[in-house]
Amino acid sequence: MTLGNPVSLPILILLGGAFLLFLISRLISSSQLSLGIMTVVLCMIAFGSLVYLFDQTGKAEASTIQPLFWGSLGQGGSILIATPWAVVFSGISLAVGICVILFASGSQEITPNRKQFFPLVLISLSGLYGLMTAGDLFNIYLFSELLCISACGMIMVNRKSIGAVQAALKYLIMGTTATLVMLLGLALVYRESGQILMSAISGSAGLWGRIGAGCFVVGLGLKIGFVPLHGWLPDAYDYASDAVSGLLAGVISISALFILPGIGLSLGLSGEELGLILLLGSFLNMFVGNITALTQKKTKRVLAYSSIAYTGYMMFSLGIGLYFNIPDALSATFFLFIGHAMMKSLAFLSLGLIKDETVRLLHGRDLFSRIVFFVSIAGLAGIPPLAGFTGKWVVIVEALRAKNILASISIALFLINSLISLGYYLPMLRLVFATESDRGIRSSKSQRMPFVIILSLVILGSLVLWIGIQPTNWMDWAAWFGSK
Amino acid sequence: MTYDSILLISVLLVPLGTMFLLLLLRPKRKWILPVVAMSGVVLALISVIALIPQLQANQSVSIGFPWIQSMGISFLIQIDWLSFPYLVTELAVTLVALMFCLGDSYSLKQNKYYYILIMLFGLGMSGTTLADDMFLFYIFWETMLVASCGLILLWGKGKRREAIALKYFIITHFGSLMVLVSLLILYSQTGSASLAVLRANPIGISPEILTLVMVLFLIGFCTKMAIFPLHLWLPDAHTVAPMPVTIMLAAAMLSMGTYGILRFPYSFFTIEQLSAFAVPMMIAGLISEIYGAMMALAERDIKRIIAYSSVSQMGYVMFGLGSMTRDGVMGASMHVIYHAIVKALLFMIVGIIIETTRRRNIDELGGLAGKMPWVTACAVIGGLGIAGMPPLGIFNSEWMIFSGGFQAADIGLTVVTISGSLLSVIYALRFFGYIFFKTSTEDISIEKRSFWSLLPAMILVVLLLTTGVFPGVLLDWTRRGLSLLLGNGLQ
Repeated sequence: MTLGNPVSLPILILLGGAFLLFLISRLISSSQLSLGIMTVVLCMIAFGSLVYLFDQTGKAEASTIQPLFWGSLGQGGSILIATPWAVVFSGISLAVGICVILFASGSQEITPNRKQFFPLVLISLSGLYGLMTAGDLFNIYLFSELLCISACGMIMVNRKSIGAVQAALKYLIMGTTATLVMLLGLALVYRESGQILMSAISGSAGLWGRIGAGCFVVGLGLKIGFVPLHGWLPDAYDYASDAVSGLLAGVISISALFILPGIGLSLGLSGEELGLILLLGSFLNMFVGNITALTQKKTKRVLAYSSIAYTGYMMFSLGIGLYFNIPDALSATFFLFIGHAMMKSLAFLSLGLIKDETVRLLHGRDLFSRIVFFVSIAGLAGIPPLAGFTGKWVVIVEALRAKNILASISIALFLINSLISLGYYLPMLRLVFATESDRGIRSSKSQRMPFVIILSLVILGSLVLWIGIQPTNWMDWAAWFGSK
Repeated sequence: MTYDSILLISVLLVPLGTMFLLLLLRPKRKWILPVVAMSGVVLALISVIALIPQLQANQSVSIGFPWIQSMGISFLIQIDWLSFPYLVTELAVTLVALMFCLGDSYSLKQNKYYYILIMLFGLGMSGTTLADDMFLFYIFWETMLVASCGLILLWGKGKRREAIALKYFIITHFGSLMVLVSLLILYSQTGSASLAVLRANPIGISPEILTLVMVLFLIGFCTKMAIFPLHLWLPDAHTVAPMPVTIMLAAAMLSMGTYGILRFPYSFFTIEQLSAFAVPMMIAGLISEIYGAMMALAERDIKRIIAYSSVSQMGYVMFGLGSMTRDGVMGASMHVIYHAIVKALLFMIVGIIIETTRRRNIDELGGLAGKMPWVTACAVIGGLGIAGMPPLGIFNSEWMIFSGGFQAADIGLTVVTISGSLLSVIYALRFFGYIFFKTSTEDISIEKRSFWSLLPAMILVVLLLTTGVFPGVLLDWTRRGLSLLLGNGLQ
């Protein structure tokens, strides 16, 4: 393994940092704030390495490494490839991760298990980076497993709650099933081609390759939360601490969606086939997510089901792009992802300011938390000029380019779902505005909000406003992403 | 930046600045809040009026900044003779609604956020009227909806206000989505979000796409206009909203649907392209006119009676637009302005009656003429106004609408519409006849009200009489906008 290779740097920093952090927490200091700040510093160093990598991505040799410790399955071995989009995606995930860590540094939910929590976040972020840069099926399997285990650990951080333990177990079982199905797919592909490198398999996959591709679609679908494989998701988001829910919903769960096209296409599925699968799947996700969200009583579960619906929106855009061969639709998907990552994390985190899920406590806090929660929910509802509206605008514009009856029906269904979603977003907005005297409720005891929490919410809130009001730079990035 | 551009941008910036000022204020006296808000609206109104010479010289004033360049979206606002009368109407209605707050004990009890949202509601309407970019238009269009929904949700009256606010939002947002899809289709067909570009070049789209776009536009804008059967949000929202908000909803926001039809399909397409929609639009207007009037007759709640009359009155507007004739379209625009005056007046009367008697069922009211002579006078003028009695304004606009109907050679439809207007006379007479002149079996006690509660109503009465007897200015304003419509086919 070439340790000096820049592609390995983010993984080394994050995984090494996780180990180091755990040691520090055991031996030197276990203050939550100091652990949090150290984690942020590590993430920022990793972010810096990504910035460096981004400059290097034009030079193919510098951005490709052959990790020796995984052996040499197949002719090409297993590799990590730092493509530009993988670096950008990882950068955005890391940025959201930094905000979540800042929030967690001041969150009381994390306090009892802070020594485990921060290293787990670093491990999950390294898993995410590995998944994005994986150039072969084995690495995809490996980093999926790493992501699954660390996420499971994070959900269980809130282990005083029996619900959290059950949710973590559910997540672990579903996640392991997913990785096993992917492992089966890997075995089938390897049996047929003797290859695990996606670039080597591309175009030569036969029947087994296609079955293997199907296994990967199912496996990744489980991780993403494709309906009907979404059973783990609401519980996990609901019982996890707010910081974990923010990270899971914002970036971790959805990440697999962006590697799906690469895998599917290299394993013999055509763009049309994969596009159709995603398009049909998107309808299920949108309808099941939105309609089920309407029936939920707990705010966190509503947000969880809205994530399923949002996954549907992204599948819709990706499906349109692949089925009708519209590269800009892929850019639109990425743009929607950026907005959703920020808004959903913000929604979960700002909800975290309220210690209970009931109406009573939801409006028992100060104006700042209300404004932040409003921005996130109004954004998710697609109210202009926030990020959700701009994202949906871009997606529909690209879908209209298809000029096809299937696309038209799909757009109609997309819009119907946007409308349905108002049925649960608006009551949440009502809670933001409602005063305690309106309902004859005594004010709950106010407490000083830690600076790190305010900082994390200000950063995310500003990003949501920025993406919505001045999306030009983000759109350029997204367009560039689509072209890659 | 020229003097005119500064005036134009100040129509949006002054109310925005006023909102921030309200946010900072911690007044000891409650009347300060509406007065500060009113001063912002007055300044905006003065800015608009000051633009008249420039409009007479150049037809339009615009200002723009680049925004999302990769998608050809700009922050572009423009005022021309099509938007001018609508903008003046919206600002004037916002002003009288705020003036009404000074005499409305419920409004005076509210905090600054109430006035900020009222200002935001007004700003949304002004922005919608001025926007010359479809993206910007939609942002202001939704701002209007969010602000009004927030006002109903937070300050509405009655236990059902939350459910009604949700219903209002969902139904009107459904209409907004239809508008959005039409805009996006046009954007994808032409590659430009600028309305000026779309107006300047004939849009060459297939008849199928044209039909789709027009149907979606009509659904969207008719939802805002509350044309039957898309009116479902209106009676409840008008009933539950606080009175100043009801005034703004009924007198100003309904006009946004009409403006949308004129600003989009009527500005983009020629009369030949849209001729197939003429009769369906007239029929929709006729049905709405009769349905609204019959429901107004069947209602017992005095606020709902006036609310349903809006459904009926918007039917006339739709009929006029559908005629696609010079008189019909001018009449529709005139009707929107007159309707704004009359509806604001009638809702103020209703507000005064409800607050002073604590009753809202028409059967429980009666004999108020002797106890409230000034209110009675205003109500009678308002009632006769909505009934289309000359020389009050609505007579003029109905005359033109019916004339347009005859010019469109749909004589049968026009005759039925004229006959239907009889229903308006009946519900108007029933309204003020029952409340003020019917002998009451019990003695209704009247609470005292301040002078301020009646002042805006009196101003509206004067305005109604003046514009009814001397409609020249309004005719001139609406006539000038005709050249921008239907490929100049109305001249």
